[in-house]
Amino acid sequence: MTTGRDGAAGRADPAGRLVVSARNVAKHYEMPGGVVYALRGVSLDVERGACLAILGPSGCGKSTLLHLLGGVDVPTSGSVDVLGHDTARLSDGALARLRLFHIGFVFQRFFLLPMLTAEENVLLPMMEAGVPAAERRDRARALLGRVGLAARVHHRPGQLSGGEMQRAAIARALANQPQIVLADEPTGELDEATGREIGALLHDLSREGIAVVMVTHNPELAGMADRSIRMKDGAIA
Amino acid sequence: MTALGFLASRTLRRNPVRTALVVLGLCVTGALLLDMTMLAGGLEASLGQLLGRLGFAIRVVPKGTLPFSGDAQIPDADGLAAGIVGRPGVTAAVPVVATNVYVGGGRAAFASFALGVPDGGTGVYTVLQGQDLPRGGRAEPPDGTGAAVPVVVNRNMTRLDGVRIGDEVVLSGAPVPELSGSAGSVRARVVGVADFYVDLATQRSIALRTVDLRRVRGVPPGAASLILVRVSDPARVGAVVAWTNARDPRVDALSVGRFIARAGGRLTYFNQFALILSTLSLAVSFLLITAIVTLSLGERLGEIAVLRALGMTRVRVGAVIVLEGVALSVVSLPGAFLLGLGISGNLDAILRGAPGVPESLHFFTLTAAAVTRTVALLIVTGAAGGLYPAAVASRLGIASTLHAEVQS
Repeated sequence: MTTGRDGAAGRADPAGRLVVSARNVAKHYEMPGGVVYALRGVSLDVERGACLAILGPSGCGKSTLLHLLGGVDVPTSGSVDVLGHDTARLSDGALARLRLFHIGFVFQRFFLLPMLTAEENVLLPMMEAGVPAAERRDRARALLGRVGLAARVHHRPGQLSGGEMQRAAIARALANQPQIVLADEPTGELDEATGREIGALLHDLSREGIAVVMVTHNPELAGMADRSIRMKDGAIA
Repeated sequence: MTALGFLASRTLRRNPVRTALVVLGLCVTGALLLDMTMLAGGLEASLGQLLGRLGFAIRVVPKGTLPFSGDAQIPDADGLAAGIVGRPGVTAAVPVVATNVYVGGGRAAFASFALGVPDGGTGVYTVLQGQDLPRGGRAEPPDGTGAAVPVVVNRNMTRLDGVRIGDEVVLSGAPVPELSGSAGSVRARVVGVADFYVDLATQRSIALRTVDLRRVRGVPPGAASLILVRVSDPARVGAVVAWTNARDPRVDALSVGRFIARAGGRLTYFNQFALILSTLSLAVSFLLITAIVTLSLGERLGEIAVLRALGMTRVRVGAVIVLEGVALSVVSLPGAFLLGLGISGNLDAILRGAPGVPESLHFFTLTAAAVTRTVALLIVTGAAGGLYPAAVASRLGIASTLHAEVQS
């Protein structure tokens, strides 16, 4: 994995190990009070199986960077390549398919759909991806079992604890067997012990070849990553 | 089930009380829509059913008129009918005199609608009790000294006036025989009770042979109010109509379709009434669906952003929202139909109680076309109601919405 502040930090990837490559990425927002510079020329490579933590104070641009890496937003300038695709050049449909099949998201507030059970939340991305019903049911059960929720598959989010909801969210992120998992403050709403369990779970994913990028305030979680970078004022410090 | 249907159905079940209230509202507006679609073509459909029961494929009337709509006569109806019955495919051409007579001699004197037909067995009415008019026979003299002429009466006359089979009555063209002028009066004997199809709710009707009725009312020989034509082969209707119109330019030969169209042309106020109320019903349904789906969307913007982040396209997210609108409409359909049929039954009874409405006609008629139109309109309204919130949902910025959700 390489990181850097400018485009020169990027490098060729003859072995095909890079899953995400950001080059001199900037993100500006036009606001009523003027232009807000959320990211200023960030470059970053993430390799297959890496576990990267992005640290920094609130407002430093780490969540914005995560959104750009996940293709939910596009940079104002620079480029973000995900699995060889420049996200700014992809149509909405193509970007959505990239997220659906290759990227899993884990959010601070879990964002499980409250009207669905844990199992249905995991099933949903597979339904969208067209996975056959029997296979998706088996896969959902297996994923929920893996995150320790085998006995809670029929519970709705309101019936789960914070840690259980985040485990279900991780199972959902893994539903379509992604190559990249992006986690935005995954332990932000959890107590210390539960946060440690979630951190270990995410770290285990990287051992299986999934690239995991975590944005966090939590130094302990960052310490579980293979590598961490620190951001400040929209740039890598 | 697809992801879209799955999400739409679960979203509607998320807040069952709210969904139930909206569905109830849509049942009411849907019921109104059904009633108005039934009303819009109801009279024409009912008229079509009635004409189908009668079985005559063509009606020949004085030009520009409708049957029983005035005193106009076809001057040489008997001759024209004889010509028509000679056309290929025509099995009967029945000249009918329609007028009013006064019936006396019983317990009371009263006015009655009278049909003059050449013979019994013409199918202009259906005998329920007793006998039909005899076939053939001669006219009785106008002074009432001959044998009583046979007549068939309707049930109203038996019910309201106590007239029975075998009773003898006097028919005249005026309330007082002395005022009848050139017309006369005849003694008549009731031989049967019949269903006259187009009777009003309390209308008395009587049928007798044409020659007798012409004499009572002073109708010129050979004249009649209309000619009813029965055709064995529906494919020949057009040719018979064309021949008849060419043969006598003073008449209109109307096929069932043209007759219904002409009658419908005189009922446009019902269609306008139905159009206005249908439009209002659709507008209320549309606003109800748009309001509730938009409100619901506002409560789950974060979830929509998550669906997008998970890999759902803008179009599919919009489709989920539109589907929610459609689902609300579809769920309301059974209730709308039940309520609509109940209301239309009551309204129909009220309208049919108005003076001058034949008992066999209905203002609200449930037809396949009315059902199809109502279902289609409600489903389209549901989809249209979901369009605005769908546009809002599909335009949501994923990152900005997720950021706002975390900040809230």
